Amino acid sequence: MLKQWRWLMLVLTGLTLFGMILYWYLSADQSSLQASSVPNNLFVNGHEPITPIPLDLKLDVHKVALGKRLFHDPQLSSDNTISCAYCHNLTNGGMDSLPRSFGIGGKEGVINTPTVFNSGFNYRQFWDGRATSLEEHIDFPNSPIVNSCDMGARWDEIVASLDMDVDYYRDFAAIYPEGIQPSSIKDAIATFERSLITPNGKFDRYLRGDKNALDNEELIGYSLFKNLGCVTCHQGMNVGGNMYEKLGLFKNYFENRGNVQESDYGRYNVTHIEEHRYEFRVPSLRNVALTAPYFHDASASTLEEAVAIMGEYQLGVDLSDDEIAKIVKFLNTLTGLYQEDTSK
Amino acid sequence: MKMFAKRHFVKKGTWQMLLFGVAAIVLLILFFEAQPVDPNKHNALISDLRELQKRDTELGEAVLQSHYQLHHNYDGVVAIMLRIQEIFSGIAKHQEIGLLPYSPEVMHELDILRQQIEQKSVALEDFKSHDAVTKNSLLYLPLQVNILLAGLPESQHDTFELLLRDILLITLNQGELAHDSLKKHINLVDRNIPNLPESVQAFAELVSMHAMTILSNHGEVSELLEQLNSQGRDGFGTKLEQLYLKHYQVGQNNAAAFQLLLLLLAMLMLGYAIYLYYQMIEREDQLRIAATAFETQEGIIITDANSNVIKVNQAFQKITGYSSEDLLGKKPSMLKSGKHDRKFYIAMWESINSTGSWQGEIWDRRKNGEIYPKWLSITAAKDASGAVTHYVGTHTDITERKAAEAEIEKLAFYDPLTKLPNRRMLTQRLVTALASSARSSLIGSLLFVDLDNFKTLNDTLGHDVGDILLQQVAHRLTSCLRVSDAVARLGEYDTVARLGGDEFVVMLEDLSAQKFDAASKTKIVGEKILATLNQPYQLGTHEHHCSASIGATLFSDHQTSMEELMKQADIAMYQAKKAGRSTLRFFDPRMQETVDSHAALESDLRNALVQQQFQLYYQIQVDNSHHSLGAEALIRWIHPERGFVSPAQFIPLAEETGLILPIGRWVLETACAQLKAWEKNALTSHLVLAVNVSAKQFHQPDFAAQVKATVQRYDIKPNQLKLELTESMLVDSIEDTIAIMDALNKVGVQFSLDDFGTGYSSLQYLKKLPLDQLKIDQTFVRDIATDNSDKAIVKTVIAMAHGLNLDVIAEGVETEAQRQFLLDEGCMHYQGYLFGKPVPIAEFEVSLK
Repeated sequence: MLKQWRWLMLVLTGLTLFGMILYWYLSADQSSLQASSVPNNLFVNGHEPITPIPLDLKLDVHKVALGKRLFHDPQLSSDNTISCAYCHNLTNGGMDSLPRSFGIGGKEGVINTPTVFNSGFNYRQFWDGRATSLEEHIDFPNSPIVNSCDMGARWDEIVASLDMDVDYYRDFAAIYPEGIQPSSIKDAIATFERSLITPNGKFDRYLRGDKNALDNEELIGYSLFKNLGCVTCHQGMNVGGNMYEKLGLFKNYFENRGNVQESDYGRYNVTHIEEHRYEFRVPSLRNVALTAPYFHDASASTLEEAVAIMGEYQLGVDLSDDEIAKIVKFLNTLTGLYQEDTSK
Repeated sequence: MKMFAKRHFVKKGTWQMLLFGVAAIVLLILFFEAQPVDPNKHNALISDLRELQKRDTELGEAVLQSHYQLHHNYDGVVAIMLRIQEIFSGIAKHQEIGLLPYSPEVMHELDILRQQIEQKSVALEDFKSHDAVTKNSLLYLPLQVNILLAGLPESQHDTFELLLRDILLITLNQGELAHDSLKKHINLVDRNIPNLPESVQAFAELVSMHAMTILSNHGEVSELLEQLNSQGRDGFGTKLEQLYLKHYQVGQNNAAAFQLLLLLLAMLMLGYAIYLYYQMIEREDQLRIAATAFETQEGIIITDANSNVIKVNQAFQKITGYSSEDLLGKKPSMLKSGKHDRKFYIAMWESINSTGSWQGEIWDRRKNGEIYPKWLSITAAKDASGAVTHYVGTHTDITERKAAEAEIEKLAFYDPLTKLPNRRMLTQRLVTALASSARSSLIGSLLFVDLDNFKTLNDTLGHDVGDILLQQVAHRLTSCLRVSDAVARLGEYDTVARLGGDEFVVMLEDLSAQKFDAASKTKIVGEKILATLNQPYQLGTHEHHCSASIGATLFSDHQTSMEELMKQADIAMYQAKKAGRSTLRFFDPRMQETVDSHAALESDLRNALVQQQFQLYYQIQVDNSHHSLGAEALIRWIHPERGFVSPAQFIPLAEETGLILPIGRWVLETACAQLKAWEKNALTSHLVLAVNVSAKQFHQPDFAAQVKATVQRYDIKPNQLKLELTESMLVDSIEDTIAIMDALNKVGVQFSLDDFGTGYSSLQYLKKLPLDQLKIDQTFVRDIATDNSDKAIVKTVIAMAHGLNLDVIAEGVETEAQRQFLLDEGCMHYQGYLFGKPVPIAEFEVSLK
């Protein structure tokens, strides 16, 4: 066989092999668009207005651990003084118990910091619902990080400073192929935040079947909660957090309170539809006993106060003290347990 | 071979390589284009689109259920809406990976879909808000009314009851009527509140507020319900799905088409590959054949256009002794043997350059120096343009063939036993000899030599011995011929052949122009042969005597055919046998006779001198006054039996056999003695005696000395001795002749030129030779009376002689008229019958008186 023929054969074979490998590689590199693991029927758990939160979300422990570090890392603020935990204090019910939080340079925020616990179950983040996910809420305009009021950092700076840390570098590299990027930072923090659930509260146990979890008064409080119509808005797994509603249905709340500010416009600030003025995302009532002061403007410093205001403005009902007390008793049962996964 | 590949293949190969490369790339392209859509991705998109529609329906259901309190929280609808949005963004991903095209129609549909989803999202939010409020109010209103009515007198109940009725109607969607009625009743209530007892005023207010809430929200909620339950004009993304399916189908069709193309191309390539493969096999076969052909028994040498050797095969190396390394890069001329001249090679190359090839026999030199013949064929290999690219030479070593040819020739033409030419060769030579003889007019002879009693020998002593005898005979025969004999003039043109059995043939060529001469020479040779063959033979332990019989015949031209000659010789040979064996016989009996008599005469002649049979006769020479001048001495032979033998007969024989020398000496001596005797007599003392000298005699180295010695011995006056020379002896070596004559002139001897004008007359001779006398030949004298030519000649000769200061004497003067004429012309001396015949001495002396 002439030398030149042998060479040609080799070349052709090589090309063919190469082509096949290339094809295999390309075809293997498809992002999995398999059918989602979404359940066929999303319409479950409808018989009770409130459902218990899951015990375990099965999140990536490495991401959670990394996110936890980041959550507590003041490097994420532009002056390296404030971390997420500063306002969303995990030992304090996930918030700082202040009417308004203070950001960089001691600047006061414009709105009451909501709790970070169970925030993963809220369908929107922020009082005005401008963020549709925890990831989004990290870098939304006026978000904690980017808002000069709060954390005021810029992504480049953050990435740069995280890059210099050997441990961050290593951990990010281990989990995220893209390394230290805003997307991966957000993903880690959000994953951690999602892990901040408080299952196994009294009421959850009751919902799961433990009939003895609630005492009489608490039960009465629950039925009051239902019958008075509180439950119409504060429903779902997170006892709220899944709809908008106007504050001041039967009376003009803001007129009565006075000193109306931009932060009071709520949903209107996002949609600019008049109808949506004074509408807020209904907050979750889980762990509400721990998260005073209440309402976006922190106008109620006790739960009793809050319940009274709600009854007056939202239900048009003048609640008796006894009713309030019972309801408050019930609300206390919504406090759950945060169990950090220390198995890492 | 490498040199071929480098230049030519690269050119062709690049072209083909390029073609193959292009084909490979096209194949790859087709392969990728021919990929059908991944079924997984396709199914994923389809299922997403389907799910979208399903979730849309689900949303409507969920909303209704929420509204009708079949579902007690909004998590469900929120989840469904989220899922719908998820699916939609997923569809964008499908677009990203190319599954869904970026066509305007698709983009338009996606836009529509996005709007639809957004609208539904907004509607959902609104629904939730309004529905919650309405729900609460609907729930609370009756309770409040109950409490209110409990504190009111019955008369004031109707408004509130009517209110409740309106509420019911509204909830049952009874349209405008209920709507207006409710409004009226709410107004009524409002106006009436101050009239109510204070304890219930608050409740009434609440009732009014709730009713108002219901009134204002319910319509909207219904609208929202409808909105959230509608599937749009074409359902959620149905159009999109259709567009996609169409695109998908087209894509699949394309893929199928490309697959087909791919298959086609692949088939073509396969076909081509197979074709090439078979071509390659064929070429390999041809190469193999060529290689086999190359390694044949013939030596093959290939050179480039400049005659530099590039390849030689095994056979070539074997034949020439040179290895491949020795020859590579050199020129074939290193094999030259030197046997051929430049012209040979020039002609060879001319043939190659003009016709493209040459064939022929050529002698080359092997490495070991040995020269060998080979049959060489050179061809010029040309390329497409006609320019010579290579020379290819094939040769076979024909040494063996030539040797075989020689062997065949030998076998064909030579007798294996005796190595003598055989009959065939003899025949050939005979034919040639006949032709040659005809041309040269020289006579040749054929002798058949037959061994006597050979058969007997064969029978008694056996064939082996007979063979040995034959070989020895052959050897002796050839030895006869090899010895050059002054008498038997034989040489290279003679042939000894063996006809077969015990018959041998000897062919003698170019013997003589004269028949008799040729015959006598033949006889001589024949007798020599007989003598040689008669010697005893040593055959192993036997000594054997063997004689032969020889038959001879002469040939001179084509008058007798070759077969005829052979027959004649054969017959003559039988004659010889009949005559008693061990003898030679000529075919022609007359010839035989002649030969015999000649032989007899010869032997007699030999004796003659001893036997004193010679005598000198004298013929007088006179002048014009009849005075005697002298005489010419003429030799006479008187044989007891033969009687007078004419000098014409025996002189030539004497000359031939060499006997002329002693005879001539005798003549000279006798003449001198006679002169001495005459000295005493006054009558004879003045006589000059002329003696004939033969050429042979004259050209003897010691002739002059001899004459001188004789003259001195007899003490005669030299000037009385006249030697007569003939013209014929002057032909050769004129210088010698002059020298001898000069020498004798010094002695005083006279010279006369005899027979002037009859032979090779040259006036130069007259000029050069120191002659004294000129003799006019009798042939001129005879007819001077009548023939004018003779007259003229004689006249001239006389005049010339006088002019050259030579004496002149006329021979054969027989008539007075002749004498008279001669006298008239000035010739004073005469010899002839008129004056006297040649007579013995006694008679002569008498005649003087």
